[in-house]
Order: sequence, then structure tokens, then C-alpha cells
Amino acid sequence: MVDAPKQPYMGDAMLDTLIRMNTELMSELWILRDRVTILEHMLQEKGVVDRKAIDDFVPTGELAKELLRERDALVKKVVGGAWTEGFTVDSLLKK
Amino acid sequence: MTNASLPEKAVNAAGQPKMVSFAQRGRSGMEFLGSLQNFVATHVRQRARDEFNADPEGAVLVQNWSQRNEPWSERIAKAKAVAEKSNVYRYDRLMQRYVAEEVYVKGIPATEERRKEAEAFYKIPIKSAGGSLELDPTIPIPAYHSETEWHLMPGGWEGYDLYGITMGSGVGPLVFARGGFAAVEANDDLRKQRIDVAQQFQKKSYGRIYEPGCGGFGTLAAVHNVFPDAELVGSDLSPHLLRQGHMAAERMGIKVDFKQRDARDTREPNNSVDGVIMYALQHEMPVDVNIDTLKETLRILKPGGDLVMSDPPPFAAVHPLQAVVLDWDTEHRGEPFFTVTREVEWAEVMKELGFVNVEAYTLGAQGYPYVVRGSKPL
Repeated sequence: MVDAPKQPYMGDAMLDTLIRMNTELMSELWILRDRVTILEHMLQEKGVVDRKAIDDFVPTGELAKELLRERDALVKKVVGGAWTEGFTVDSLLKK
Repeated sequence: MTNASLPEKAVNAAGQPKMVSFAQRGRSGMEFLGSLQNFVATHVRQRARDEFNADPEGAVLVQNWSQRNEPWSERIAKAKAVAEKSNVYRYDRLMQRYVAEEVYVKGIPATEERRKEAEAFYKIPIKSAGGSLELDPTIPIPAYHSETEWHLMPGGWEGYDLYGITMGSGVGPLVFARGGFAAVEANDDLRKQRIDVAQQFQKKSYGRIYEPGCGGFGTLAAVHNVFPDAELVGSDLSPHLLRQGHMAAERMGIKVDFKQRDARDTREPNNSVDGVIMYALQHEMPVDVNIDTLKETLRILKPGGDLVMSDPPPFAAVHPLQAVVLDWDTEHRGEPFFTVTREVEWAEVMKELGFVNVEAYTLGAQGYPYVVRGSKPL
């Protein structure tokens, strides 16, 4: 078995954990970006979607509202996660 | 050599079987590790080095580093204390450790996902180049070898039957090829480095060249590149690596005899080889095993025969922060003999053992590849 490091590298085990989490998220982000780029490339090759059209596309109407809603929810979830407060069933259902 | 009978998708432009490719998640995940390690070893490491140089105690160490006034363990401890004041250095080390773990954490599942393709790849018939593979299950495997999970590789080289794919399709081309680990500088060309080292043999031609601890076929391929007419023999303790090496050499159409041997007991006749090459072997063995290996080398070399060794540089030949980085591998990257073998100046040991025309020098800007070469007296 390959053992875990004996000492935290940053002087605090939690700090090491946070940095590892952050790095793992960056890895997942890259894996996704790699996949999206390939997907766009393949779709263009097959004549389904023009990559330039994706760049030039400006969301409007219901799609714009959906993106706004999802974006705000993401910010609230990620940034808000740093200030955890008490919660109730109601507050959780409103999230 | 071509495989005209194989389906088009299974062969490359030269008609040779294509190496198994990772699926998108595995490939891109490994490529991410390559980029991360490359960045850390350049930008982050340089910042750590600047901080080391700016530290008053660090500056004194830099100035006096090559003076031999105290044991290396004490000098390394002092340099490590300076380095660890820096959060940048600590972050550099955490990321190095992360990548060293993740190449297997990500690489093994990515390999397993391709098991079917990998097994098919290994079954593709190979037109023999005339090489051989001689495994000997009776050879005692020393504890230093069998009990080490080299480079944080779970179970060591024999721990996973598809490590050849993990390394050949993932870690090698997608991570190590970007450099920036252990003594290897970021953006170093590993293949060219091996050729550069093979070129350190001084004669125009060699009849028979032997590589103890060959691992696979990498170094012998470089030797073949420089001396295409030389007869090549490689030995190692690991059956897995020898099988991989044999398969790679045969696929490339290069005749090599691979033998399972302890480097201290090659079973080659006295005075039977013209050249011996050791590449990145020294730091994988305890000091006494290294000395016995050099004695064995001297025994099998013909009078006037040459030894070329390349390994990470000794502590004396590098910046103190780089010495700390090399020392770090001992405890943190499954390299138990890195420190003890870097404390030794092997050129002096070779002279004491009877080698002549011994020289030690570096081929790279930061001390790597580091070469020690010498000859058996006529």
C-alpha cells in the first residue's frame, strides 16, 4: 500500500486537503473543457454546428433567464458555502 | 517490420500495432497532470528558488555549498530548513506529491477501462527480430527491490499486469514527456537525453553493449540509435519490465537479448562485453549494491572496455534548493536510495575500484543528465 504523506506539506492538514480539492476541481474542469472542445469540433466536422455560431450566439428570452437563474444559483452555492448558517427544512427547500 | 494483416485502425502509418489509447477522461486527466507538473517545476520552483536565494541563511548556503566542511546530511537539513520557510516551496512539494500519486490514481482506472484493447494489443503476433527473453524464477529478488513501491506505484512493477499500458499510453507520453519531476527539468526531452548519454561512449563502434537494470527498452533503443551494429544485452530483476522491453524491441525490429539477472551477478563471462551502460539505475539501489554492481561491471568488461553511467547529479553538483528537491524524493516519491546515493561521488568510487580515465560531468544546465564514465584498464 502506498501510504499517505506523514506530515502536511502546508503545515496544516486541512490546508493540504483544501488545496488537493481545489486541484482536483481544476482537473475535472479541464477534463470537461477538453470534452466540450472535442464535442464542438466533432459537431462542426459533421456539419451539425458551426463553432463560430456558438461564439456569436447571444442567449435571449427563456434561455437567457434559465442561464441567469443557474448562474446565480451556482454563485450562491459556491461563494455562499463559505458562510454556512443554521438551516431549516423551509430554508433548504428554498435553495 | 509491418503487420499488413491487421485492420487499418489497429496499425500506425508504419504498419506497426498502435499503442492502446486512453479514453477521453483518462487522457485529458493525465494531460492535466503533465501541464500542472510542468508549470509547478518552472514558475513555482523559480519563485521558491528566488525566495531561497533572498533568505540570509539561504544565501550563505548557496555561497558555500560545494565546500566540504560538514556531512551532507547536515547541509541538506540546513537547506531544507531554509526551503521550508517558503509557502511557495511547500506548495511546489504538495503539487509534486499530488501528481506523483495521481498518475496512478487516475492512470490505473484509465488503463483498466481499456483492458480489452490492451489484452488484444498484447496478443498481436510480432515478427521476431531475433531477440530473446530469458526469465529465471529461481533468482532471489532482494528485499530492497521487492519491498519498494517505486515512485508510489502500488505494488511495485509486478503489482498490476497492465502497468506497461499505464506507463506507455499515459504516464510516459502525457505526463513525463512534459518533464519537471525529480532531477528532470521541465521541457526536457527524455528520449534525446538517453541518446545524449549513449553518445558518451567514446569509441566509434562497440561489439557488445550490456545494460544492467535496463527496466525496459528505452536506453537500449538509444544505444541502438548511436551504435546500430552493436549486439545488445539488457538485464533486470523485474519480469514485467523485461517482457515489456522484449516486446518493444521486437516490435521495433531490433535484436536484444533480455535476461532476468541481479546486476551484481550477470552470469556473463569475464572480459566479454565492450561497453556497459547504466541509466537511472544507481539511485534505485543501496550503496553497497551499487559498489558490487560496479565490481561486476569491471569483471565482465573487456580490457579497455567502457562504462557510461547516468543518474541524477550528486548534491555537490547542484543548487542547494535543487539538492533539497532531490532529497525530497527519498521520503515522498518512493525513492528510498535517492539521498544515500546522491551523497556519494561515484567517480571517486570508480577510481578506487580500478576504473581508469574516470570523468564526471553534466550534460544539462541544471546538472542533469549527469554522467560518470570510465574504462577498464588494458
